[in-house]
Amino acid sequence: MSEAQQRLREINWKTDLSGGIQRVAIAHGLAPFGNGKARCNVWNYPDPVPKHREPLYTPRRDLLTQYRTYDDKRHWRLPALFWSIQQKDFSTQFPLVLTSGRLVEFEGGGDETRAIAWLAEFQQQMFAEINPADAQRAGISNGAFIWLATPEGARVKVAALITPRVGPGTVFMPFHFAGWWQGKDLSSRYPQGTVPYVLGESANTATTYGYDPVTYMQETKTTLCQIERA
Amino acid sequence: MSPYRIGGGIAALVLAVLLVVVTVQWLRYSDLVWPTVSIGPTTQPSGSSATVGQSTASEPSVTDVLAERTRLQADEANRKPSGENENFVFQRGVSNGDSIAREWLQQAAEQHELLTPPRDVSGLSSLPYRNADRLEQPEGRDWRSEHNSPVRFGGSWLIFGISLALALFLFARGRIQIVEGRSGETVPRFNAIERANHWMTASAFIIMGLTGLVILYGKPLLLPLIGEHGLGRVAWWSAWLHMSAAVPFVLGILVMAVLWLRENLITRLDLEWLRRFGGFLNDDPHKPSADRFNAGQKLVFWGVFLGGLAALASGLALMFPFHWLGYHGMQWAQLMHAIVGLLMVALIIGHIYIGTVGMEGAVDAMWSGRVDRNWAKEHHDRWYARIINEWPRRPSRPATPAE
Amino acid sequence: MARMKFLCDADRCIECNACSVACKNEHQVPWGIVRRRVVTINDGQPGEKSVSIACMHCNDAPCAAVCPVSCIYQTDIGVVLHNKDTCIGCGYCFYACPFGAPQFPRTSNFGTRGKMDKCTYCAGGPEVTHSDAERSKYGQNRIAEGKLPICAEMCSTRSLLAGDGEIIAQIYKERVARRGYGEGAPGWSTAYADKRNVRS
Repeated sequence: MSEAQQRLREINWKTDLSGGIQRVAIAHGLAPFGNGKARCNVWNYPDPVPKHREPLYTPRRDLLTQYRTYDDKRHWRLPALFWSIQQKDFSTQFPLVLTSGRLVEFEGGGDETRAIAWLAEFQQQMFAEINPADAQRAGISNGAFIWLATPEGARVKVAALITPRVGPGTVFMPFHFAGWWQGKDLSSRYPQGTVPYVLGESANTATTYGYDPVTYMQETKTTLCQIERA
Repeated sequence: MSPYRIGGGIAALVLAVLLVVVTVQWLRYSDLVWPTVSIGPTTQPSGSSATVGQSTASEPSVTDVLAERTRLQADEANRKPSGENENFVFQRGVSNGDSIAREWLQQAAEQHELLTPPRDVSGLSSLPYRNADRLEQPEGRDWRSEHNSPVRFGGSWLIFGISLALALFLFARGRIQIVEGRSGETVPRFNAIERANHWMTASAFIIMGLTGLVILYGKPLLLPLIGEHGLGRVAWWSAWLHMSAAVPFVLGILVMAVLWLRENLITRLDLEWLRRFGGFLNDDPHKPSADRFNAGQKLVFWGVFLGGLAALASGLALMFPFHWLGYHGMQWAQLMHAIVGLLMVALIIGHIYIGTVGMEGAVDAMWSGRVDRNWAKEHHDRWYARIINEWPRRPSRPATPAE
Repeated sequence: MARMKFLCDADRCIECNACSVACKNEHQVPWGIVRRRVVTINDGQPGEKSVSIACMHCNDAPCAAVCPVSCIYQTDIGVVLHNKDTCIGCGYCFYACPFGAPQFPRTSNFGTRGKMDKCTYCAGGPEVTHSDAERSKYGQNRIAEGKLPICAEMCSTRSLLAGDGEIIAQIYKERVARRGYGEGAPGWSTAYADKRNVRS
C-alpha cells in the first residue's frame, strides 16, 4: 500500500478539519454537503424533486419571485396556510431572523432534565443568543433581560447572551425551558414539590405558524422577531 | 548597672539569636511541596515507607493497574474497563518525598513540546458563578512565592529586628528617668473616655495581632507543636476572633480620630523633636519641645489610624472575596493586609515599649489618666504650660516639705 | 511510580459537559460547587476551543504551599487531596490556584467561606478508604479501586485524558502527529513545569 493510501486510511472524515473534502466537492461544482444530486423523483410529494422555498416569515422579500412558498392547501379537512401568510411583509416590524435549537444539557420540553440538579446547574437560565452588532443597536448588554416579540403577537422575556456565535441578523433560542409565560413566573402553578430547578420562557410560545407540507410538522426553526431591552 | 539595662541586654541577646535563626532559615528556604502520603496494596506493611516503584511480589502495583487503564484511552473504540476492581489504600509516610517532587519537575521540563506558555486565559462558561470563565491565572504562583517568602520571613525579620533595636536601646540607655524626679503632684492627661477607648482599641489590636500571626505563622511555628488538628482548631478560632475584634478596633480608631486628630497634626516642633530623637539619646535635661503629643506619638497615631483604615479596606476585600476585586486585586489585598498588619505590630511593639518599660511615668497617662508634673514639664512642656493655665493647681497629695 | 495528570485535548472537546455532569453525579456534589467545568475560548469565532478544567494536581502545588493550616497534601502518585476537618475556609488556596479549582459553599467570608471542596482525582480524602465518611465528605474513591477519574472515562470524544502522565502525554503527541495540529496541553506548563515565578 502506498504512503498516500496509508495516510488516507488514517484520516477520519468526522474529525478532519483540513477542509480537503470540501474543496474537492466545490471544485467539482457540488455543494460540500450532501451529494448535490437528487437521487429520486417522489411523484406524490408537493415538490417531486426538492426545491428551495422561502419560509413563511422571511426578511428576504426579493427571493419570493423565484422561491415563493406553496398556495394555501387543504388536505381532507385540514387547512394549511402558506402563501396567504408569506405575502404579508412583517420584516419591517420584525427585522431579525429567529431560530431555535437544542442545548446539550437538556432534552425535549425540559421538565424531566431541568429537574435533575446535575444538569440544571449548567444551564440555569433561559436565554436568547444575539449578535454583538444587533445588541449594540438595541442597547442590550450581556445578561440583561430582553423582550422578544414575534409577528403573531407573542412576547417572551429572556436573558440576552451577546455572542458572535450567531451571525448579525439572527437570534437563537433554546427550546427546553418552560414555567414562564410571557414574562410571568408560573412556578406557583406546579404541584407541591414538582417545580424543576430551572424555569424559563418556552421558545415555542414565540415561534410562529407553519407546517411541513407532507408531515405537517410545526415550523420551529425559522421565523422573524424583534428585540428590545426589558 | 540598673536592672533595666541588664534585662535589656538579655533580651537583646535572645532576639539577636532569633534574628540569626530567621536569617539562616530564609537563606536556606526551599518552598517545594512534596508528597507525604503513599498509596499501595492493602498488604503493604503498616507505617511503611516502601521505596518508590517497588511492589510486593505477586500484588499488582498502583502504577501497573492505573497505567494499563490509562492506555485504554488511546484506543478510541475500546471503552471496556479492564480486569476486576483492585483494592488500594492511602497511608501516611513517603520516604523520599522531596526527591520524588524534584523528579516530577524534571519530567515535566522534558515534555517541553507539550507546554504552552503560562498566560491569563479567559473564556465563556455556561455557569453563572464568579470566576467560572477564568481558565488560567498563573500569577497565583507568584502570589504564593510573595506570601511564603518575603512576607513571612520579612515579617518575622521586622518584628525581631524592631524588638532587638529596642532591647539594645534599653541596654545602652536604660530606662528614661524623670530628670527632676517625681514631684508627687499630678495633672490630668487623658480622661475616662480617652482611656477606655484606648484600652478597647488596644485589646482588640492585641487579639487581631495574635490571631493574624497565627494565620501567617501557624504552619511553620505551631504545626510542629500542636499538630494538624490542633492547628485547624486554633486557626479556625483565630479567623473568627480576628474578624470579630475588627469591629471594636475600627470603632476605636474612629473615636481616636475624633478625639485626637487635631492635636496630632504635624507641626514644626515635630521636626525638631525627631531631629533630637526626643532627647532620648543623651542626658541633656532640656528635652525638645512638644505639645500634647510629641512626634513619636504622632507617628503612632497616624500609623494606627491610616494603617487601620488600610487594613480595614483590605480586610473587607478578603471577607467578601471577588465582590469588588478580581484575582489580581484579591492577591494584592491579601499581601497588603499582611504587610500593613506586620508593620502595625512592629509599631505597637515600640509603642508598648516606650509606654511601659521604656520611660518612667509614661504608663500613668493611660492608666490612671494623671501624670506627674515633672514628667509633663519635661516631655510635653507646651502642653503642660497650656493646661496649668486652664486648670487650677490641684496637688494629688499634700505638698512635701522641701528636701 | 506513575504520576497522575489530566490532559484536555482542546481540539477535541465539544463542550458537551459530560465530564462536569459525571463528576457531579459520581460524588453527589451539591449545587453551587462545581469541581470540573468547561470553559470556551474565542466563543463564536474561528479558533474557538473548549477546555475542561478542574484541579490539575500540580507539581509543587501552590494551594498546598499557601494553606495556613497545611490541610492540603500530595500523594506519591501526584494526586493533591485535602482535609475538610481542618480547613478554615480562608480562600488562600483559591488565590494561589492558577485554575480556580477550589470551590466554597459560601461566597462571603463572614467567619469562613465553608469547607473547601475540589476535584480529588476520584481519590477520596483522609478518611478511611471507602468508608461512609469518605464518601460523604469527598466523594467516591475510584483510584483505590484501580480505576481512573470518572470525568475522563466518560468523555464523549476522549478529549479529556487522565492517568499516568507519561502515557497520556504520549497519546496526545501521537494524536497531534497523526492529525497534524495541536496547540499543546492547556495548563501543563503552569501545573507541572517549574514555573514558580511566572513573571520572572
